[in-house]
Amino acid sequence: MTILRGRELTSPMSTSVDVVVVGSGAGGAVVARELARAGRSVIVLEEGAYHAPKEYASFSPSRAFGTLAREAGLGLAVGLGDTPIMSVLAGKCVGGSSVLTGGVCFRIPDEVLHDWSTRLGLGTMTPEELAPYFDEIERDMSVETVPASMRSRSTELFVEGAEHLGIPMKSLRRNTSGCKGASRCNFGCPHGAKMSVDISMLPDARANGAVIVSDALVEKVVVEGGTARAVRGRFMDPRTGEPGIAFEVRARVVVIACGSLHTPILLRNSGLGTSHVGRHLTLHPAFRVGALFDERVDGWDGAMQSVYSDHFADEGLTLVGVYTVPSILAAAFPGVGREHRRGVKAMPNLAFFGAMIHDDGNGRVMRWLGREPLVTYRMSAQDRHRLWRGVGVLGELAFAGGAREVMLPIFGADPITSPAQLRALVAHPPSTKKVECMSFHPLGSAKMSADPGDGVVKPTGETWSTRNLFVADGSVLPSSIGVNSQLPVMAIALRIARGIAAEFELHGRVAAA
Amino acid sequence: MTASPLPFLSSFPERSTLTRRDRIVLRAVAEAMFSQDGEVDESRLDAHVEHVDRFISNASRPLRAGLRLALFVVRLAPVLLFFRMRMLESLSVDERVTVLTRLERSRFAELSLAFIGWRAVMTMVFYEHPAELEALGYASERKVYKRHLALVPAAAPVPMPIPIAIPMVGAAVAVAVAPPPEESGVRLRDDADEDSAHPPAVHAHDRDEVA
Repeated sequence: MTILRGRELTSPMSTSVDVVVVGSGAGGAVVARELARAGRSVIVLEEGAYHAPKEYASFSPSRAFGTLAREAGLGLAVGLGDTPIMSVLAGKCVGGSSVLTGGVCFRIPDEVLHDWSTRLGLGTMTPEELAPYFDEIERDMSVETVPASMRSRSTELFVEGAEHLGIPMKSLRRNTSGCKGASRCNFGCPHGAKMSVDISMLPDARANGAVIVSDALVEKVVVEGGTARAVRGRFMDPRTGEPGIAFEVRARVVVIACGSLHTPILLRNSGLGTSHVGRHLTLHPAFRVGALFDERVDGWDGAMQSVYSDHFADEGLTLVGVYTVPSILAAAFPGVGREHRRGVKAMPNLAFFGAMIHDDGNGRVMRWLGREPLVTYRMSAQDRHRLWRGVGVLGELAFAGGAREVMLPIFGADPITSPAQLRALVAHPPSTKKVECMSFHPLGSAKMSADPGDGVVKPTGETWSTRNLFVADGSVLPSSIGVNSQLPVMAIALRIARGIAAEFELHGRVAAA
Repeated sequence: MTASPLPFLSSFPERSTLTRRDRIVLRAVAEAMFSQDGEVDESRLDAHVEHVDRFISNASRPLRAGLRLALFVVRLAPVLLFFRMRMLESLSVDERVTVLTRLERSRFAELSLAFIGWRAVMTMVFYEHPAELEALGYASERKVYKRHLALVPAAAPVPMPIPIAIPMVGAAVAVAVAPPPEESGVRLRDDADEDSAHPPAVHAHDRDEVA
């Protein structure tokens, strides 16, 4: 795929196109491909750098995070009140977060869409309406069920524990083709088997004439007379990583797809902030439990994620088998010195089980000292209950699967050795601030609404405040969905893109006025 | 153990975060974390500090400033927790371990997070070293494929869809095709029923290890 690398450009750039797309992740890539296919001239501006997928195999985890992730993978949501500080992983590269996901694909649950279409008044957001978009994306992204043969021993133990407790497990679906089970999905697939959008969508967009520019930081959307006209920004300096040479791209339609953390920042920097911009952020707080077995597990040997359970969906919990490379797992081990080393040495005998909360959403994205936003999150009492319920369920699963010791996601806590200890802890939990929590699905910070007073964008994806300015990423989702968000983001982006294509002449007339 | 043979290439070569003082503190923490018994080579600890600096230098300025502040808290831990007027790096390795353990378990979450954040970064970088991964038996490519699955002989017939008889009104019998069973997480090993259904229960891992 040919990429125009902004870091190699030595003079200012100014150009005009039909559509400028800001961001090349799951949302932006779909919009770019769709509008390029519709015959529009499209330019995609990506802040991050471009790395050919074949390079991922040579990346160590720290190199991958340093190169492909925002804040080198060290981004945080600051917990307010009795809320844990949460690591938030988001991509900053051509392909965006799709390069760093586990590839897990879910459709938006029917009950969530029912809520959107009834309580929130988004009448077109129904399973029937969205099904064709999901069908198309699933086909294009090679979404397939993970075969049982790809399960790691860690996952098998998870399943065995669930069986003992009568909890049904199901195989996950992922966007893969030729997965070799290296458990390295979060660092860019080393085998090019994960169909991230830099492999599946952007080459198609490029083949249809779209121009993709990396290292291009968009700082402002230019609005004249209530209509978006252009974007302005600067190319990133290859030595310092700071913005340098300026560019401007004029367009008849501007599509923002920077993700839930940066779309609100760009809107605010462009003077387009309403009271809803940056609010309503949901994070799907996730946590994991380690389980020490007598047998050798080698949990890295197999697919990173292959099974899940929606048995507790009514309680706001999804259980997911998960594993990753040793250095990342070791980062959460308790202890110092010998004690920590001893834990790491036991890693071949450790299995990990994870869970994710379908959260109420009480996060906020704000401008702060630099270009990166300040993210805050206040966990609701109900979500705290869900969290401890999840810790209890995972611990029970581990013991039922035959674990000798269980490491809970509590900073500084010693491993526990019996279900009775687990139940006592969950009955009287410590401060939630002490819980090790992660987020991989920030959503909802520029949410869709049926009424201008309730959100940032219309059901078509166009902003309520500005004509010809669209948002097509996870920030438009009006609530937490409780499942992995890549596929939903892509399906909704496809729907938005189709709407833009169908009304493009109208948008053109508005732009010309 | 020797220094890392894999140079870490920063995305932005001109960026650096840690001052000389920070590096001394970080190295002292690294020694307590990974070399309490002197098991790690001195040069590797130096290389580790350099590697960590390059890694965190990919982050934004405010985050890097926050990390430096957290490192300052770690440095002050002997004063904050033990009221000893000494900085962390001036303590013996075992004393450092004691202080850091107390810091990790502090009831003030903000204090403990200063150390836990750094421990996460340092651990992630340290255990990427090939020698550490080798000691764990980690293989970046899958080592055991289709573990625990019974092997089907090459000459075995391909299973056909199972016909199901469905009684219908006004017709004798209609034949439908049963859908394949959904993978529901059925255990793949030590299943007596499955073993009896496939007597030659040769397990894949008995022969498919391809280190």
